[in-house]
Amino acid sequence: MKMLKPPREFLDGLKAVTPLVLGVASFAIAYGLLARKAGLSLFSLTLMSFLVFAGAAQFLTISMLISGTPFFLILFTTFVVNSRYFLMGASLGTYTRRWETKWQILLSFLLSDESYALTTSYFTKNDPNKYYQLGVSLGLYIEWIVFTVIGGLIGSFLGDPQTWGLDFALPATFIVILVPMIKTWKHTAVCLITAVFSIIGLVFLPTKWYIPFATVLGTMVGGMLESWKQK
Amino acid sequence: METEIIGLIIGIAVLTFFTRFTFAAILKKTMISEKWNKWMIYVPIAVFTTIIVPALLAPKEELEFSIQNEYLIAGIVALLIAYKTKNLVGTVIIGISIILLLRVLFGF
Repeated sequence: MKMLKPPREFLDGLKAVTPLVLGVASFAIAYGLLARKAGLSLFSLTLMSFLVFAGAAQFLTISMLISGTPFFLILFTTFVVNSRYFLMGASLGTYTRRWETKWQILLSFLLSDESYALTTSYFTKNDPNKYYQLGVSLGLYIEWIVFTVIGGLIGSFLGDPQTWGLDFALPATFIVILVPMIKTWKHTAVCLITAVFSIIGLVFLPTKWYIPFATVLGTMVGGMLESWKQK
Repeated sequence: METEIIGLIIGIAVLTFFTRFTFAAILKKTMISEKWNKWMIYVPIAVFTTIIVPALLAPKEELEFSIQNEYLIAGIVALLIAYKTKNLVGTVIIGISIILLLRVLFGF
């Protein structure tokens, strides 16, 4: 019997992930650990990595579950933060639109910020190859799940999160996600204005409504700054 | 509770897949303009700011704008470290250490 040999591009894709392994692993462990401390079972938190596979949305969900946010606001916020995938999907779509639907479904399900970055940079230099994208995506996916479970197991052995100061780990994680995004004065301005909106919403609106309030207004201010500059 | 959480996770998963697949499915020849790409960076900036700021300024639901608030102090330090290093593990560990130190030494 002949051994089924994976295409060379698939292995190239897997290899391309290696510089990201440490960074992705630390986020996955942090997610698993904090989700466990937030009261999610090992099953649920792993299921989330399996089905959702989006770090930012997963961390946001944990944080909102801890603070008792209604489910529909959790759905809204994760949808909003994931709306960036519309554009990533569109930009990759120009390369992938001739591929079979089953490939498009599989690769869309596995789309992440990291796989998008690696895949587009490869596609602009080489022939767009679905096996390359699959290698990148699957490498990241499997890593995300494995280290989620490890984080969840560590979390199961730690005691009360408050005594360990772990309640600060989530805000600190969000700070590490946010800070590298801020590259121009307009980004800084939107960050500061959104901060003010969130405080106003926190004080004057019913519980947790500051989240859609400040998110939508902050994004609109960003859009206005962009279009104002173009004139 | 477990069933509800699983329901929530499936809901998030469906919406997330929708965002990832929509344009792969409907895209014919349309290109998304550069302008939209620039707009999109403001979404995560606004979302994360909205989550971070109340977590630091109102850790117990009440606005607490004072140096007695250990989350605010640790948050400012974490911001500086994240800006300098962009390192997740370092920022989280130093941030947590500051929280614990303030609680143990000053009884925050």
